[in-house]
Amino acid sequence: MTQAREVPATSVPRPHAVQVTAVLVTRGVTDYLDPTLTALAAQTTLPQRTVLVDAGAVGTGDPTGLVGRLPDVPELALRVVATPDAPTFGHAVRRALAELGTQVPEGGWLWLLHDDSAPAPTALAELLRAVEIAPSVAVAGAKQLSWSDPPRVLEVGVTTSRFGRRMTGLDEPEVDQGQHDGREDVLGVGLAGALVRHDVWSALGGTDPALGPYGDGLDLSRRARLAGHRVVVVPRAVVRHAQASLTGGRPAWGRRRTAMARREAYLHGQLAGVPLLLVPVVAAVSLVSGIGRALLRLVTKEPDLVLPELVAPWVVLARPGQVREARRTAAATARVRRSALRPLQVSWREVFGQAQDRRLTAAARRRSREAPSELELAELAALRSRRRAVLAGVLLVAAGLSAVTLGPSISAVLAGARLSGGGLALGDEDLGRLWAVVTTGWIPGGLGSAGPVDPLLIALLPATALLGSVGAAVAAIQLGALVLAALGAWFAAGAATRSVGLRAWAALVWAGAPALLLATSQGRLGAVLAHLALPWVALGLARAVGVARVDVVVSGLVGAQRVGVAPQGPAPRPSVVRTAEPSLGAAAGAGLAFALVSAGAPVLLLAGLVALVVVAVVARPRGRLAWVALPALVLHGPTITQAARTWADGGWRVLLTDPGVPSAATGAPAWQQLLGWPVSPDGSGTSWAAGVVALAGAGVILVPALLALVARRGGRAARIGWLVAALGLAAAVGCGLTPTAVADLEPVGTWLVTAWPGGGVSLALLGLLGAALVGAAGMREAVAGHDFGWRQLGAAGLAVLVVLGPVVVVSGWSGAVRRGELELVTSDVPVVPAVGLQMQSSADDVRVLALEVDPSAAVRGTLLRRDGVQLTELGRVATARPLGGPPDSTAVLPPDAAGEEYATALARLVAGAADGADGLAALGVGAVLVAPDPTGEVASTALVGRLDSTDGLERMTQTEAGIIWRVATAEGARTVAWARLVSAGGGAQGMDLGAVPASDGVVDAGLAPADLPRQLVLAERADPGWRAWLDGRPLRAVETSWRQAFAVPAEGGHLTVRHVPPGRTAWAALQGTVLLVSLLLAVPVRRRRAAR
Amino acid sequence: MSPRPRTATDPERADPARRRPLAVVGAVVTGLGVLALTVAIAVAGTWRGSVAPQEIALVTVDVPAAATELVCPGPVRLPTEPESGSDAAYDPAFDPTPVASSSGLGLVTVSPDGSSTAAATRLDPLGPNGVEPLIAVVPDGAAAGGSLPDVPGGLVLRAEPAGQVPAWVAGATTALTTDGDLRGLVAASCSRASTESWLVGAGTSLGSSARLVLDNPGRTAATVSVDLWGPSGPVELAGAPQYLVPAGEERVVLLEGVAAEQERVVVHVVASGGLVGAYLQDSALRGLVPAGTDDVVPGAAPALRQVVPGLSVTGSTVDGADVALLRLLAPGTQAGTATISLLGPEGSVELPGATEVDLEAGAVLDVPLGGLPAGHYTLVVDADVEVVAGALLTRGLGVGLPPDAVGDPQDGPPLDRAWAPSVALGAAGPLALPPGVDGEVVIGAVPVPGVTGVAQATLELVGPDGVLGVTSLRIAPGTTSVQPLAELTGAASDAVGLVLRSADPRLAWAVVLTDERQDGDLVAVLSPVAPAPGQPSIAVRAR
Repeated sequence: MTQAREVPATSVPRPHAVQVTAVLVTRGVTDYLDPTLTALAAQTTLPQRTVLVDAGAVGTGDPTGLVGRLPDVPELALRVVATPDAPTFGHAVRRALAELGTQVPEGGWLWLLHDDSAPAPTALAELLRAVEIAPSVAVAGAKQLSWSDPPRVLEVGVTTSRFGRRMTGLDEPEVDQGQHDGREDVLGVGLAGALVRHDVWSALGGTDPALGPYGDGLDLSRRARLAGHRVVVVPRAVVRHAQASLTGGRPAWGRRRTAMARREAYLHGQLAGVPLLLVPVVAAVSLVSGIGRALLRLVTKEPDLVLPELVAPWVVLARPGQVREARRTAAATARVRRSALRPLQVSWREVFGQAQDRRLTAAARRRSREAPSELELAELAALRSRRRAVLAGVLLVAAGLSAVTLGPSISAVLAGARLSGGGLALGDEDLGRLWAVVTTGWIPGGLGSAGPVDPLLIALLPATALLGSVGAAVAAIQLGALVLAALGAWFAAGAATRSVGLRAWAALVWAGAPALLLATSQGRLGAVLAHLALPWVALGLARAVGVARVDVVVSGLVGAQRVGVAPQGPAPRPSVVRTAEPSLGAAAGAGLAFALVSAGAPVLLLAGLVALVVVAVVARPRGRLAWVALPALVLHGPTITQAARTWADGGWRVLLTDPGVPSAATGAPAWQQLLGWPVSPDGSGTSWAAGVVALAGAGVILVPALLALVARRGGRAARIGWLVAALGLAAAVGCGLTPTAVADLEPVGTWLVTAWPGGGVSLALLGLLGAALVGAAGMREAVAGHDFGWRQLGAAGLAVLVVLGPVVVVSGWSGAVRRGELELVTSDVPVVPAVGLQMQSSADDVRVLALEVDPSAAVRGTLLRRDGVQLTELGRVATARPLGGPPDSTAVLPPDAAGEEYATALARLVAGAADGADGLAALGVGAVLVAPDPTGEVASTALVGRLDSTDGLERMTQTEAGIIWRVATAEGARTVAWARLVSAGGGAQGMDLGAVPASDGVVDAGLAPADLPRQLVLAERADPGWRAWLDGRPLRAVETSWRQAFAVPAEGGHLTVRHVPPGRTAWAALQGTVLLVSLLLAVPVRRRRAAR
Repeated sequence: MSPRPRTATDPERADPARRRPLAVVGAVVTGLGVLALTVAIAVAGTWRGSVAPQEIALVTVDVPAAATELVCPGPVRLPTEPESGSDAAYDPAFDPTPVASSSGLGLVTVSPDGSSTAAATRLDPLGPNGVEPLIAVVPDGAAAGGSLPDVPGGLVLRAEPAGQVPAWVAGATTALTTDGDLRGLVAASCSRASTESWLVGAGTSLGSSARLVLDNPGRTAATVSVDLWGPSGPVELAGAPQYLVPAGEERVVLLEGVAAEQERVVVHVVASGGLVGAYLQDSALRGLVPAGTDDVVPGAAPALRQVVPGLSVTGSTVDGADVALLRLLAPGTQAGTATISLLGPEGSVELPGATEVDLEAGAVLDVPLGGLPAGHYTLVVDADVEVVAGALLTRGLGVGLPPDAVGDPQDGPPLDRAWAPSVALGAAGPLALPPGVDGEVVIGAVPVPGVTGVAQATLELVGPDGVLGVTSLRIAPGTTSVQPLAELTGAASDAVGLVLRSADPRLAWAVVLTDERQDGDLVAVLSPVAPAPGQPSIAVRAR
């Protein structure tokens, strides 16, 4: 600066061939104004006059005070003009020029300066030299360097891609080594420090008033180019630019604050610049790309930029006047075609090349940051290969155990058999059909019932998409449970400890947890899924709040200390704990995993939320923890709403009800559940001693978990772990106390069963295991700090015990399964013979009634719409519906009108009543199936005989699936179809007028006209959600005893019937949005840290 | 809040001496707190227990009782006699039937509870319903009956339910042939058409004939499959073991044609597509000497215990000729042991020789019951595998004598035989008596665990227009009571049936018919067909 001051004193003013008016715009007095003015005054070539434009609002300071302090440079001819509240730079310049009028000669040049752009002393001289030798130049820009030291190149002219993407040719600020000084003709220049011919400025009307601080220079340059002038950059003219407006005036905010304004400016520029015909296209593309860019912002973990990306196109499109004005202005001055600009724009190849360069640079920088030295790099690589080897070993052991134990089932499923049994229903539906079920609010099981879709079905969507069918997804989860559990536990344990031994042990404990093993062999899909997803929730949570550990290579003398002489007193071992940065993506990932957990074990929704609150109390940052809860909450939204609506009638039970087929279990006493057993291990008649061994084997985890509480390190984590364990235990106890479903057990009988306590037990184990891991991580060090003695012996003994415990449990389970205690069954025999399947999928859309009898002649009838009871036909709401009242109530509600009619029809059929077939036809049952009774019971044989001799039943075939009878239509006197027309006013008993083609509960068919009005009767429970249209006109629903019926006029047309529950679309949109956003947020974009 | 430093030394890890006392207290309090919370939940949860699965009663639905349909055997026929539709003819010079058989049928309908009006009953020829019935009984009291002097062929007895419970009806046919190949007294109760029947009796060795008669009273054709066991195991039938029985028709299968040279057989008939009545007409010749004729009617399905009432024997030596015998078969795949006990009028009687026999899986075994004092017994078989059982009663001049006293059986006196099926215990219900028969009612009280005391029952004698007389019975457990029909009927000779009313689950009964002849007595056994259990409601699970 001192030098700068001296320069004007010694320099000889050159005679000016051209008139230069410097225009410096400021908003009041800013931090940068003084240096800028000083730099202006220090120019080797001074402008003939200088206009300081104060665009600040009243009260932001009067810059005239500053002017007084400037060195007296007469040539500067400084003048201060106030243009209060000018919205943009261009406005301020225009108003100032207007105010000064003829004082600024039209033939000269304008030197445009921002308050934060300090020109180098020779800047104006160099600019003038450039324009003097090239008369066609109308705009000459300066090379912009950063304000702060060391100076970096910000911009040496700008260009754009063919689509208007702004390209500076610089990845990020570079050290100025003259590497960009070769540029001359450019598409545009930044206006800070730019010399603009006054007449051109006036002709072009200055900058576009719609453009704020962004893109105005480029726009002006473009229009100047189109008007036939040249735009050059003069690299020797240097301006140091603070870019205060880019960062919103507050450097700490970063560029993100202004992202929306920049996006708006870009879109405006595009709309103003493209040919008129393309304007609608650009508008549409901008809206669509806004969504795409918003989603991309989620992937790149910039959620605060999502809204600007979505809103900016609308803001621009909402101001068509500005675009029109801009286009008019541009058109008025355009002299050359747009194609003339093309050589100045960069090609696609350059755009891609530049993106590629940027990526490589970033990767190289990350690498150098993480592994500063070759030595560390090698050490990390060694750690990595050891970790991979151990993980592979763990997975191999889990896979081997699965093969030994579940091998027959696995090979049968791989050979095409279907897996079912226990709590598992069949899953023949492919992705499309699953999607159809997920997007309705109808539970098709039995005679159908309204209710929100089971969240488990939504949770199965990804796996179904991957594996092709629900059954394949379910089998993968159910039979791959051990491997998946070990995998999840391994990674989650990595957040608590970096010891591969401890991680392998955690995988063993988690995969060998009785809660998982029992759920696996009993076909409790939900509990298995919850157990598999829980470690991922824990891992995501730890990473979200930044407590997940990562490998660290401690340099220096750490290893040496141990070998040396025992230090005096407690060893001050500097143990370095390195944790991963808090991650929003991890929070979203935890949220998705938590959604899986809550879908599988609904009781864990509440318990998990409470645990989350506990974590939120102690963790920072806590705001993003909302992402953990959000997916599970919206997934359960409709279910929670339904529960709240029917709360007093016992509807709350659905929040505890397990998904899938209800099956019986008696919860173990709570102390055994704390030891890890959802049900008592001695429940299956094993000896007392075996039970004790099993309990001790699973419960040995408590010892390290207790020690963790007294350990010095990780005490807080251990306490949270115990609190989670308490929550899980409470959930398990609550489940064991609450009847939630009516289970069908053999022989024919119904049992009131409670929710499965396994989900709560899994959560409790998660807490205990977490506590044990953080405790054990420090234990080795603590023991190593002492001489060999009881501590070492105790630790070794404990280590043996905690490894032996899960081994005992797993081997006991494996033995039990191989002895036949496996409720899962695989079968390649269809439940319904092919001819029955054909009827189900026919246009009549009929059901097949499967009958089972037991020796006491009790009968169970199951209405089948597919080849067996499907997972997609079940819903937790329907499962819990028969139960009502207070928690300990064991009363079961009597069947509704539909259930009563069904039961009566069933009983009369089995009793051999003459009207047996009529009752079935009214229920839309097209066939009756009696599965082969392996025991050859007399009751079953007698039933077959009675059905054989029943009028209206025709035996079709006998296959290995059983004997199947057709409900005869008896020469048209009886209609057997899901949807049928009856005479008006007749209701279900009306005279049959024929069937209406339907498919999967949807009618979409032409209807012939008739003489009289009639009714459409569906063999399905009535619900306000059922809607029917004839040629688009809605039909009036008619009340019957329980069936859905519609009044159909006499005329024909196209008939459409479907179930459209109110509010479903809103929920689906909300769920879809939240899940999609979570998914995108959870996608890991940056390459993981080298040492993972 | 600024992000956590990526590398930090855990403050808690710092020198413990520098840990502030407040932090230590806090750690202890929170540690104990979480521990106490967990323990509290565990204790409270343990104290509270959990809810075990609870059985819920199924929904019960009242259903109308089904109509009763019984199939009555037709008259005896020679196995060589051409079936209708066949064009085979025999030389009349060698007439195997020098005298005609006299046949008859009795039917009875009684009120199940003894007080209301009995169900209307009609007797039709086998065939489609709707033609003029042979007999129509419309009772105006608690009991009624009817009889038919001559049985033309297979008959069907139909009764609508008596109010809400199935009707108590019974029918029985008899055929008496005094000379010729078919010499013998044949009597059989009308049996319920069913999906499966176990026929224990008959044989297909030379001179013997087993004529399997399948009657389909229904409106749908039935496919009948026949399983047959012989002395050395299951027998493959020649040709397909499946027979189609058209609706309302009778189908006869000569077992000697499809499973020849099986000295003793057990037949299992399984019908699908309709319900079928099945019986075996068993007749035997020894050279030219008739060795008895009877119908084998279905007995109880395989079970661990089988009870055969009405075992009436004449005195015999242990190795006597043509003694009564017990036929046993374990139709499963497991061998086992059966214990045989005989309940006589005074209690259990030791069977000389073998009280315990080994059963080979699938092999039909005949246990001779020689050495018993003359009298009526109830036979009980207890086995450790499921068995079927039936007993053969024999009468004749040479029966029971030592073999050397009889001489060549082909030249000896004629013989008559009767097959007694095993029955279900607690078989209260009606039993029809064909016209003009004489014999004894044999009621056994079989010991059943958990039931003690003297079994009580009433035996009602039914005439065409009502109850003729009531006899109260007290039967000591483990004994067999014998009531001669003549004593029951007294002066009234037009009895058409009997009703045993008792709630005791230990009773099993049958009627042994005898016809005394100079060339040897004739014998037959009538077993009651238990009425369909009153099933006014069915427990259903509709899902």
